Amino acid sequence: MCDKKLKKYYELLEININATLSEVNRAFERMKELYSTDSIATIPIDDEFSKEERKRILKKINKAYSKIGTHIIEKKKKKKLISEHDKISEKKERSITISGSIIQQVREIQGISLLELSKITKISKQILEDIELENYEKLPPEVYLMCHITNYTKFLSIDSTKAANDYMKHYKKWKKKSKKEV
Amino acid sequence: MKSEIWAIGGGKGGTGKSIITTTLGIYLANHGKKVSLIDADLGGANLHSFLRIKKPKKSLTDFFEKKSPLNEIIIKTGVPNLQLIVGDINTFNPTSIKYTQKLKFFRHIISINSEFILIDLGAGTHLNTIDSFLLADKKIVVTVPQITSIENSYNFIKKVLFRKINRILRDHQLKDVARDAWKNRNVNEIKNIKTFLYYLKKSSNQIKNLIDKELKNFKIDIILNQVRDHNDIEIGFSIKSLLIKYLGIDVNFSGYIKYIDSFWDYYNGSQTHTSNKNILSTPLLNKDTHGLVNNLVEDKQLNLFNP
Ligand SMILES: Nc1ncnc2c1ncn2[C@@H]1O[C@H](COP(=O)(O)OP(=O)(O)OP(=O)(O)O)[C@@H](O)[C@H]1O
Ligand SMILES: [Mg+2]
Repeated sequence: MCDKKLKKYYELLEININATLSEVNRAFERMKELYSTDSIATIPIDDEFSKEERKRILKKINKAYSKIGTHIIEKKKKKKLISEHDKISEKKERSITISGSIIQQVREIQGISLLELSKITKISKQILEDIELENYEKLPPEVYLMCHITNYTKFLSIDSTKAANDYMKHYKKWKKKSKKEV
Repeated sequence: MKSEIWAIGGGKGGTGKSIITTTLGIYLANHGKKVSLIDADLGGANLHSFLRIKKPKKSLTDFFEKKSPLNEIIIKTGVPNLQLIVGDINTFNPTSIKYTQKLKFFRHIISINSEFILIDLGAGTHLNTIDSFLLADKKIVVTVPQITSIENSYNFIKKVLFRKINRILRDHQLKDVARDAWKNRNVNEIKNIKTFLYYLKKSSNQIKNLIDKELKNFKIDIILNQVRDHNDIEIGFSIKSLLIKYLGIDVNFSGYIKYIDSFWDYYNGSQTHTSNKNILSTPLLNKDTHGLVNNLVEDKQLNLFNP
């Protein structure tokens, strides 16, 4: 992403370009609340600063937030990827079938929390957790699941096609088995 | 030496402008800065009282009525490095200052020999108040987390911005453009300051560039006073954000000051404060002030992550 655009996004969230992820999250939560509800700060200019206009701002804020989030996580990843851990995990990735626990390991190595990821990917934290723990029975229908895994693993720089294929293979096995049991 | 002028205003009465001006002044003076306070609250001057000065011999009345220059009516306070120009206490009617007097007043302010000049503007949105505010390098709006005070602050800032835009255009021989736009505001669909700005910027590229350039250096600093809890502090961030997004101007939320229960004990000479009676201070001088002044001096935002 080009710097100028990125700067605009930071400006929209009214934070410094060096803000940490938790500062970004805080600013986002604050603004989401401010521009979607009435408060003693908004009521005095309610008639001039209409709800529609505030909604438009909210949309921009949402976009800025996801761009900044992605940017920060990419940065984090770049830093960590160079480390040996990741070389190992890359090797692992090629030779090993990618499962929930592998995804979890890679995520933890990169120092990204489920909550952070959930905010960025817009996949609920619960689903992400269920993917990692292979709580197959709790997972959403196949088409959605496939999408989620692709999106999720993309963020972790895992080969997302392989990840989705591997994961779905296991998933389907489990599904067959559980059907038989019924 | 070019002094840095801070103006403290904000529309609503009783929000704490005077006590904050005093507190900031004492803080800066205690840190070795040469500071002059000017009590420009022409209706209700009281900085001298917060500094425990009983019967000031000289005041702004002398400037306006006897034509004494400002540097002759400035008086010492009990705080080293801190000087004060006492406001007009009784006789003066603020609305009667003539334009030439006002210009003279501004000229004299700029020539005061200090590192910092802090002007307490008092309440209200009189043109004299707005013009003094615009004169300052740092334009500080004091508000409290209450709807009436917030509303007054918005109105104050809108008036300041309106005046600023008119002056930008006037200074570039474009006075008529602003006047005509406003006069025909019904036809031009100008409903408020925002649509006014929008209309002007759309009218020509020259005007757009001019306004953009001049407003780049236009910045408001917000101080939130009488804060009682964490939710109150959040209101400061809300006010800041709304002003930025609605008016498109630069706004800093510089900091907050807590509500002090024992405020008046401090001045009424209660036993708890007798120990440091000889050292001039204010009930607001505490560690929050430290962060606030730092943010003001360094032009930074309040950051709750590393206070
Ligand atoms: N942080 C605070 N905690 C408790 N009380 C406060 C605080 N700040 C201000 N006050 C109260 O508000 C009163 C008004 O303060 P101050 O005179 O500084 O306001 P002002 O904005 O200058 O008012 P005016 O508009 O009338 O000039 C104080 O006398 C005090 O009682
Ligand atoms: Mg006052």
